[in-house]
Amino acid sequence: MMRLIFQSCRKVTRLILEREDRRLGPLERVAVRLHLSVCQMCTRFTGQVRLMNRAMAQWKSYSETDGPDDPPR
Amino acid sequence: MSNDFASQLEKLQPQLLRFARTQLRNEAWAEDAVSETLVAALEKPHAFAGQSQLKTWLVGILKHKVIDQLRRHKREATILTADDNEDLDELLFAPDGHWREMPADWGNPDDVLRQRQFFVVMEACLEVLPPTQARVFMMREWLELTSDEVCKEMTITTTNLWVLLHRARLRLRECLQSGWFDAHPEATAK
Repeated sequence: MMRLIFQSCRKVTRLILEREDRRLGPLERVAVRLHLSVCQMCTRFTGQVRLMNRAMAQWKSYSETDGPDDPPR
Repeated sequence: MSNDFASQLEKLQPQLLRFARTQLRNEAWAEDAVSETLVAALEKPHAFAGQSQLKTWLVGILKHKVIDQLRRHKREATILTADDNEDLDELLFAPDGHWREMPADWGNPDDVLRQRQFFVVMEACLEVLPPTQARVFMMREWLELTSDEVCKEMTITTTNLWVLLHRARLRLRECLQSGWFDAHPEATAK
C-alpha cells in the first residue's frame, strides 16, 4: 500500500502523461497528488504538460478555421 | 458547380496537404487523402451550404479520409522503427528514479501561446517525431479519437499505445525545450 502511494519521480511523470489518455485509478491519483505536493520538479513537469495541451488545442482550432494558415497573432 | 468553388478548393489544397502529412507521415497517403477530400467536395458542393467556413468543412472531410488511409495502411502505419527504442526515461531520470535535472520553468503559458513563432516551432517538432509515435499522437490530439478508438483502428494494445504516447509527449517536450525555451530565456526569466 505505502509502496503504491510513495512513487519515484520517474513513475509519477509516467502517470502524469498517462492521465492524458486514461483515467487513473484512485490509488494512482492519490500518489500523484501527494507527490506533487512535495516535489517541485514534477510540479514543473506538470505545468509543461499543461502548456503542451493548451498549445495543441490552439493549434488544432486554427487548423480548422479560415484565415491565414498561421497561428493567431 | 462554379469555377469559383473549384478555385477556392484549390487555394486550400496546400493547407490540407500539410495537415495530412503531419498526421499520416507518408507523402503518398497524404496526397491520396487530400485528393479524396477534394473529389468528395467537388461531387457535392451543395453539401457545403455556406453554413460553416469552407476550410472547417473541408478539414472535417479530410479527417475522415485520413482515418480511411490509416485503416488501409495500418500494418505499415504502426511499424516501430529503431529510433523508437531510445530510452528517453533513461536520459531524464537517474537509476534511483530522480530527475537528473530540474525541469525548466516554461513561464506564463498565456505569454508563450500568444507568439505565433512558437507554433511554427511546435509544428516543426511534430514533424520530427518518429512516424508511428506521431501518428498515434495526432490521432489523439488532432483527430480526437479516444485511446480505445486508436487501439481499435490500429489494432494495437493499450499498453503499446501508452508507451507510444508517452514517448511522443516526452520528445515533443524535449524539442520545445531546445527549439523554443532554451532560445527564448527572456520569456521565462521572471
